[in-house]
Amino acid sequence: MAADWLRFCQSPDLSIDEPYVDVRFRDERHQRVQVEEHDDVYLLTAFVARQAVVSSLPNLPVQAWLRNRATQLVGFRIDQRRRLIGEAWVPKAGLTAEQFMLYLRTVAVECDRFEYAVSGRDVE
Amino acid sequence: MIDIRAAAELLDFGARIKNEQRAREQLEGAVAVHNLLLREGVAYLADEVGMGKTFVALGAMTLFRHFQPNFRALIIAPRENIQLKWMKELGNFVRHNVRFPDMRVKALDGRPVRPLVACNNLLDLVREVTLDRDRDFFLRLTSFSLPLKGRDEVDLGFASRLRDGLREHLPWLRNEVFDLRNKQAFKDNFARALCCALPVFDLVIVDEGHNLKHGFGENVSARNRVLGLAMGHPDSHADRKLFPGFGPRAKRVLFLSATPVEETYDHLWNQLDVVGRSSPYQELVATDLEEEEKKAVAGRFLIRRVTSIQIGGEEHTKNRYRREWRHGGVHVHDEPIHLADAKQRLVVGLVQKKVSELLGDARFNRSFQIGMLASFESFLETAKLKREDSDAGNFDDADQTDDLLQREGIDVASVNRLAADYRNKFGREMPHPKMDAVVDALTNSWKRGEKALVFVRRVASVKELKRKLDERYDDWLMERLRRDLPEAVQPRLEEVFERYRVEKKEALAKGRTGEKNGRTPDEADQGGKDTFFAWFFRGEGPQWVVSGANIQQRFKKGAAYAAFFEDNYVADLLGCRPGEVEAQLSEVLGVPTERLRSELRHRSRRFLSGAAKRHAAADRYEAVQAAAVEWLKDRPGPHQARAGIIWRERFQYSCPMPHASEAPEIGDWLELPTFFTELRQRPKLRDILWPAPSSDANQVEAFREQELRAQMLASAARLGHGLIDLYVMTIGRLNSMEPRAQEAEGDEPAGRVAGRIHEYLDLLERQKETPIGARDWGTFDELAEIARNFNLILDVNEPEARQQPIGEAAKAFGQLLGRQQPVGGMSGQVNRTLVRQFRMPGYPLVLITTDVLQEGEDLHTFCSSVHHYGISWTPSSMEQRIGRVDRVRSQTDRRLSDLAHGALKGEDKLQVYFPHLEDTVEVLQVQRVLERMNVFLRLMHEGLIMAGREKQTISTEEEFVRPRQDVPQIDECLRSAFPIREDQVKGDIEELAVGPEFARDLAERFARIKCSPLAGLNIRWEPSSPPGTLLGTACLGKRVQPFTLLLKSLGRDPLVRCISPVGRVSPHDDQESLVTRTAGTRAVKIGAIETDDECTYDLAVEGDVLLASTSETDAQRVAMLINRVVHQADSLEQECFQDQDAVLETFRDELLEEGNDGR
Repeated sequence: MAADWLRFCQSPDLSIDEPYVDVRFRDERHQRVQVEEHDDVYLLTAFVARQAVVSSLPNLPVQAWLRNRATQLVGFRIDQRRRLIGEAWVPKAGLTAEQFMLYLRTVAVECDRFEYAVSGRDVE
Repeated sequence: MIDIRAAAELLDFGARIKNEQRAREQLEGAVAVHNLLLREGVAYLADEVGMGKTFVALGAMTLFRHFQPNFRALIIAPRENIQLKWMKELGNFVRHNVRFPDMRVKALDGRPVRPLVACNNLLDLVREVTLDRDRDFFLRLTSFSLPLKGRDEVDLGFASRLRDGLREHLPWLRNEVFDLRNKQAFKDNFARALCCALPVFDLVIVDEGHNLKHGFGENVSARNRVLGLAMGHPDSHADRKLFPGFGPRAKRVLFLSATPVEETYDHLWNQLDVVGRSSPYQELVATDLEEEEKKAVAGRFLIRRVTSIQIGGEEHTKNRYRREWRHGGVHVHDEPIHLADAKQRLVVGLVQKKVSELLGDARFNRSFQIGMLASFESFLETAKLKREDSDAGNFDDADQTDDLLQREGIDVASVNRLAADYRNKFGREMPHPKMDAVVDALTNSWKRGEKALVFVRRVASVKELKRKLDERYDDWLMERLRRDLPEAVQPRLEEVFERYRVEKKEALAKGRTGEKNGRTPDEADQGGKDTFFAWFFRGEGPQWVVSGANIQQRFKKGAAYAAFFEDNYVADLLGCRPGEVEAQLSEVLGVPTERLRSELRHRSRRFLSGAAKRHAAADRYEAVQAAAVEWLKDRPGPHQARAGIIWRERFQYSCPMPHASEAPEIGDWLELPTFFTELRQRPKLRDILWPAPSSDANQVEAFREQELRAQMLASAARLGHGLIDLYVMTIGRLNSMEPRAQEAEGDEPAGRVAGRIHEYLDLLERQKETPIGARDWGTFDELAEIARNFNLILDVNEPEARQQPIGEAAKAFGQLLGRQQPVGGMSGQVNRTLVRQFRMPGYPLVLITTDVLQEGEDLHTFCSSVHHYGISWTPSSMEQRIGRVDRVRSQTDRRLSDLAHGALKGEDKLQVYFPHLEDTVEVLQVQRVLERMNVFLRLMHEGLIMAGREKQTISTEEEFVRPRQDVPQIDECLRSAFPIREDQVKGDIEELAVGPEFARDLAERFARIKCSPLAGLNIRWEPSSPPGTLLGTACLGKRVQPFTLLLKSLGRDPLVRCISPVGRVSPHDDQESLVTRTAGTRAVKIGAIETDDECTYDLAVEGDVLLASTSETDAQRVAMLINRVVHQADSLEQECFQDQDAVLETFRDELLEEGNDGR
């Protein structure tokens, strides 16, 4: 039986490529979000900027932490491979497709926005 | 489209204006604007000045956001003061006019759900939208001017700062974007890059939209171009490689202005064009269309209503309740200024001859810019302009012309020569009959307490008029003191006057009389030498006599007379008189007197500072009062509930740290009479000055209102005009001005204190009984006016006072009313203190200003008189100026609405003066402007058709041969050409998205989290927190981790945010180690706080979780959130601070502020 999250992702702007979901936006930009299943939660992750970009912008970690104060559901950090990523925990308890997609789209939108700010491009 | 019935369930426009008709008009406006924006994507609200366009716009925005919680808004105000006003009004609007918290517009604590962000410049805007675009942004139009030094090329330093600032947030911008060789190209590309940084706004509000009337194009102001390009103008020619994502940034645009056009419909089209909204309305600029057809086109998106006041059942539109003094005089209506003597006539004749000769010069072609001849305002020396400064001018709104000579004033050189010659010959300044007449008329201000607003064009006129009025004020005040002070002090008084004259002369010679600009309200008042009041009654005052300043200081907190304006709370609580308190208290508490005294003494030490060697009398009084009230609130009985309220509202925060270990004897402090205990004994006077709160109010509200009123009365009485009465009374009692006479006063017996209070109250009674005319305006009048309009004053000046602790509100009142001056002057930038004081009774009674106050600033609350001393060249500017005092809830509005019936007398009306001299060239410009004002009025109200393009210059050749004729004031009732149509307030949305129960249920769900078992967590919750906030400490084995939970919303979904502080880490400095420490922790969300303030934490771990549609899973979801956040925060704390385990108390204040984030 398919995992719940696969059933949740039924929308024309979403295309699944397990364990990823591609989220397409109205302005033709798009963002790829990884879905990782745990016992009680899903962990959603999307890449914002690769190591080279992170290294070229020395103030980027602080920018990410300042942004974290404002963004909802999504948190940004530099991971062990020194990439800038956005993540969100999604509790499974009582989760509906509508809320799962809200989490998913929020991660995609916020990461896409941050990506545009740091690179002016739509790559990740 | 929304239906007005649904809107009325959400919006209550009558909550504060208490005027059903106006409230209805505003509601209709909000609905119509909302529906127009939905249909057209653009709307123009052109209601007359003062009808509350800001509130109507906020109403429309609220309706959008209620149905569309992610609705994003940008508000562009013309300048800083209006930008801040918008932010203040949004807070007020949400608190008072949105009926219930819906978690979309209004949060549980009554404030806006979305944080508000003031952007001081465009880089600020980029930074803020990059951090979080889902807030409400407030900008000012002047920011789009993007000042860059240099004439054509760009100043490198300026440009580099802008470029680097932009690249900080958009690091990918290429070098070729920033062309430093061409100013225009640099600005254009900066604006295109700005567009790339901006999100798409669902609504952009452009306040005072007429400022954009010259449109978007190559040869318009840079400001309009930068704004247009930043909004993604379709004609931007943006290179998509350089500017990826460039495009329209405003889904909808709302323009606000009472004066949307000056001369032609082109102006309307131009404004739409700046934001790329003009194409559907191309007919507005068609040359082959009749004006009526253009009117119909404008009617597709424009709304205008006219204001009126019903007097005796008859409707009076603004032209009918304003009295215009069109013949130039200022003393008798419809009479010109009379020249006093032959010398004045000769001087005027001479200057006219010079001006005529000058205008005859080929350079000027017998014409001049309206309002830009210096001689119309003053014969004193006007500064010569520096030729290299292309933006400078001697007149405000110098943008009227690009001609440097015109900006300077073409008659400046001639008049300066004449003035210097006159000064050399006669040893005094050349008389200026207009200036003298106006000064003479305004001298009545401090005799009658009537305020006047004076607009000038020539910047230097502000100082000159102020100086002359200050001199007149000094004459009046000195005469008053001579008359009222005892005979014994007269010689000393004359010495004081002489010393003042000497010091003032010295200061004038140095060009320094007033206080330095830019002082913050917290800084000590330095007084000044511009008036005797400033020198003697403010600041330090002269030290060698008992000065007014010295008396004022004695009423301050902790000083000798500080208890004078206090209340005896214990007496009031027990319902007894001073003198009976101890016995009554002893009985109520059931303790004998001796024990009562010793226990009170013991308790009072907590309210006395441990740092003080000797406690001032007023501090001891306060401590004993606090101790008694605290005792009563802890003792069950009939007084417990009210004592609890007084304790919480008045004394809870009075405990100094550290407190005294021992307190002095309580003495007779329980029995002290004060101004307010004795005022209660004079019911008629009390009703006027300190009315008891309405019986509808609950006990807390009632006590708070009573206290706030008392604090404001006390501040007004000791800091302004009323201080003169207090001084006269005090010196009368001392019969001396010698400092040693005052030093004899210390701990006074209650009888002597009571004597002083009663003498003061008797004075107020006498003033009450004596009509103005038979006496000068005095303390009673000022205090009575404050009392009568207390809520209005709070609304316009200190709305936060209603929520603040009483002590903070009292401090705010002190700052509001400090540094008063009888005559205020303003140019260049807005002086906030002066503006706020002008919105109150009392000083400043005259406010002289350039056009810096022409737009947006409310000055209507106590002023019914406008002087156009320097005339403006556009009717809309004239209308904007009058609009400062002609507004909803204005003094005129209140006065006329109270008139039951009968004909409206001239002196009852709002007075509008056009001071000018007959038989001078000036009369031509006044006549022209008055004609244009009439045309403007007719066109705005019967349609927006203009007869032809009006010139901003006067041709003396044409005007001299035109027959002179009066330009009468239009008297017929005005009728709008663009009323709201019925279909604009009807719609298919008849129900709100959520009702009041939504937030109520959510708040209950949120509160239940505290009582629910949270798996894996051991939490100590704080007993009380503000609405929408829960504070707690998670116990993690032997360690603890404090946190706060905030109830928020994400779009339509409720969301809980958890914030757990780590400590002061300085993330900028310690960035690398923090990155390393958190790289391996999955989904840790670190929040860094950038602040210049002292703070207990600048690093926190945060997280959020959505709540489900029902509450079953709340505890489980929130428990997982808290678990994750507090563990991550505690781990980081251990890594960053090895032995530290900070407790909630360390972070409490800032954690409580987390819910406020800029709202």
